[in-house]
Amino acid sequence: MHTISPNVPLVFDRWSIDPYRDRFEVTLHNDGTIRGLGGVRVLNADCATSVPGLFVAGDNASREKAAGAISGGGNVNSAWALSSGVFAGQAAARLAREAGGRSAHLKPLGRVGLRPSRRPKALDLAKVRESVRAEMHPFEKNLFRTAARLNVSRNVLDSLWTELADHAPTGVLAWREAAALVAAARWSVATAERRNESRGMHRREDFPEPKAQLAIRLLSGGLDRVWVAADGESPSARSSQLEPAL
Amino acid sequence: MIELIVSDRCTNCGDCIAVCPTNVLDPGQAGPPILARVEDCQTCFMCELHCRADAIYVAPDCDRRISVTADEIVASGHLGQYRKHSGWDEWAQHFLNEQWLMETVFRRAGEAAARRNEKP
Repeated sequence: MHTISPNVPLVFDRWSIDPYRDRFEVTLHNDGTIRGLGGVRVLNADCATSVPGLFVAGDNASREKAAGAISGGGNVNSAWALSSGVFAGQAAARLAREAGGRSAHLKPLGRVGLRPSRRPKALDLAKVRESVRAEMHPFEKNLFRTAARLNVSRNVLDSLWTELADHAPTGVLAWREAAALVAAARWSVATAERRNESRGMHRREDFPEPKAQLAIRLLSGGLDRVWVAADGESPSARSSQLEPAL
Repeated sequence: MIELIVSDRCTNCGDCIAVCPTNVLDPGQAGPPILARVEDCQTCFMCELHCRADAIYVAPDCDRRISVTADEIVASGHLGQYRKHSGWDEWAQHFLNEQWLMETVFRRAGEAAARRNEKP
């Protein structure tokens, strides 16, 4: 352990606990991120995405093409962090070089947390974050899932999204981050609703067994309207929903 | 959570500010970085690992802050422990870093669990 993952004995040392002899309290912590298992979908070996000119790396990049459904520390995560950074960086640099010094008139497309569609309001950032946590962290909602509870979560998160889209203040990075939290939570809940089976860490109390027809990857996305699609379905059917509403 | 930066060790290199994944630190005016958003700290120890001056102490509790002084931490011997045991920088020849074996550990644990589940 000391040579494979020195951050683990480090914590025990600081608590003055001998993990091999002493009893110690264990708690379950939601770290609230997608870690190595999700991310913006990587389309090819350049780590390009469906957005032209956008390349992703590390935990931001989906990793299933390299690692399947497994996660974990050590070699796969480290190798992916390094190699995806190199792939994405080289491709982005190549694109920039090809584009040369041409200046373009760029129109910013980001909306939620950046440019509210209606009058900005003094929303409570801590409350918005807490509302996302309240749907994503409780064990009865996301370790032991049911269609009914997921449906409640979906409605709560949809309203949050609408509120942010309409009124989130402009010019504060934390609001854009909050919008990303809500977006990721909506994708997660929608995908968990669609996957009406239990598989790996995804447990549906109403569907305790795996289903053969769901031995597939599910992709999700969309902003005002969230979509979930089986990997391999025609992307054209949903590309229009990826466009920002202007 | 990050508790303190020992100011007479800190060289103001800024590496901890850059490496923090949750943007906890701000540059100081004329001293060490400021612990500006400690509530965002995930206790990942990255700042400690990257601190070549061994000036940063991250306490193991990721939920609440503790009260600790620079003198106590310097005396504890914890400063620089993670960087040293990771075999970084000047410790490369002294401490083996076998992080690449982690996946093997997970695989073996998975296989052991599968064997146990097979048994009636």
